[in-house]
Amino acid sequence: MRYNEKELQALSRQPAEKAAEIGMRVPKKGSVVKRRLVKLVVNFLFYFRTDEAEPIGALLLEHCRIAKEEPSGFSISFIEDPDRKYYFECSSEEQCQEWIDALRRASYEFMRRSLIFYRNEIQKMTGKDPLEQYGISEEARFQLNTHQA
Amino acid sequence: MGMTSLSVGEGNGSEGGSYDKLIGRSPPVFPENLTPSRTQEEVSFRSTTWPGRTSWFLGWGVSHQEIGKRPPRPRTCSHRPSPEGPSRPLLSGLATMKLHRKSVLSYFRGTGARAPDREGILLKKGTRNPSYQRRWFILRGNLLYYLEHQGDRTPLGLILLDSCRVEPRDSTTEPYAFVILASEEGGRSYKLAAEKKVDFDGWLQALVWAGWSQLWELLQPLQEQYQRVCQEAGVEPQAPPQEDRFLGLPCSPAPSGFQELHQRFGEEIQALARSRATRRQVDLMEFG
Repeated sequence: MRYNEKELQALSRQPAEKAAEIGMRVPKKGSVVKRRLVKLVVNFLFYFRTDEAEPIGALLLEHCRIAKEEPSGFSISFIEDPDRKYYFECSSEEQCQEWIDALRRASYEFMRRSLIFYRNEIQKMTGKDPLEQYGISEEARFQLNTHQA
Repeated sequence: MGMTSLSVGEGNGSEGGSYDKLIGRSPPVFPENLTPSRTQEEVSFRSTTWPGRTSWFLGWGVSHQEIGKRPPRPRTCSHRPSPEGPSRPLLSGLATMKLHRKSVLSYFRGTGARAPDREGILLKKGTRNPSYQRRWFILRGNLLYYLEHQGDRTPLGLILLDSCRVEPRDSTTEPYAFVILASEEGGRSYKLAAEKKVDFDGWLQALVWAGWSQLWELLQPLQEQYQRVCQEAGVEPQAPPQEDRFLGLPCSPAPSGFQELHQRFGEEIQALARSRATRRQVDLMEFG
């Protein structure tokens, strides 16, 4: 599957929701925790060697499980490969929880679900569709439950 | 969404108008080069009825930390040809960044949950091959995938829409054409065209609203409005539903003991089996 690496690099340079130096361990045999600059941009998590400007890797934060790992760490794993986890070691419980919340909120599908929820609730309570003012109430992406054919 | 079972890549002469002359036979698949294609001359475009944003450049000003600006150390190249076809060409001297493919593919496949935001045939101009090829495009969230054939399990390519802007390039010689431009200088452009006006309007509309930031900007005021409305109604605002992402099931509070955990796994496995059975039924209904 092809993609343009420059697009990914451009994305990694956009302003981040969150960025920090965190210990990271990739799901490879014999891998150890390494200090990485981890940067959250839209629904991608980029990680860099701490002295480099270009990321060494990127994870798409969709269909993934973000779980707390003791002590003061968290893991990211993906639906098709639940046992291969990316581990992150934070410097405090507070930092850990902030990252877990931020990563969950970053998912496009999470945001979409939230939007649909708010839209529905507002419509129920006020009788008006809040998306009408934007002229997008018919947009497929904001409809409730359009299931895979 | 008007899905046809057309096998993409074959010329179907009944639609497409002047594009039939521009569509070449499927060439050998070239690796996409990263140097910019010749930029098309500016052409005036007929105004169409779709929201006023003709192009936008995403810059999203939330808290930002500066990363060390030293240029990357050249490393030895690790170059592994991908099983699906030609791999990305290397930037000279620099190792390639690892994009976690499984997460991208998993999102593409959708795992039987939500239907894609839009899908259909679009004509795509090759970079080295100047002719248009029919490809099956799938838009899911902020990612645009394209396939050689509808129903292919692995996409041919992926376009990150948050690094690009979309502009119409509609002209008499190339009707219903538009371009997806990388925002970075030296980035590539994707020259696309729809075969019908309704597809042209539909795709532009869908792509304009596909960015992550678009959704975020829409979500914020809606969230505030929800809280206000709740307050006025004297109702406690609720958090949006958390889904168990692995199985699309609503998440209950964390299990308190092994017994509950054991039971939960059993339920999850049953639910997965049921959803698989349903999907198989749907497949059979479609092809049976």
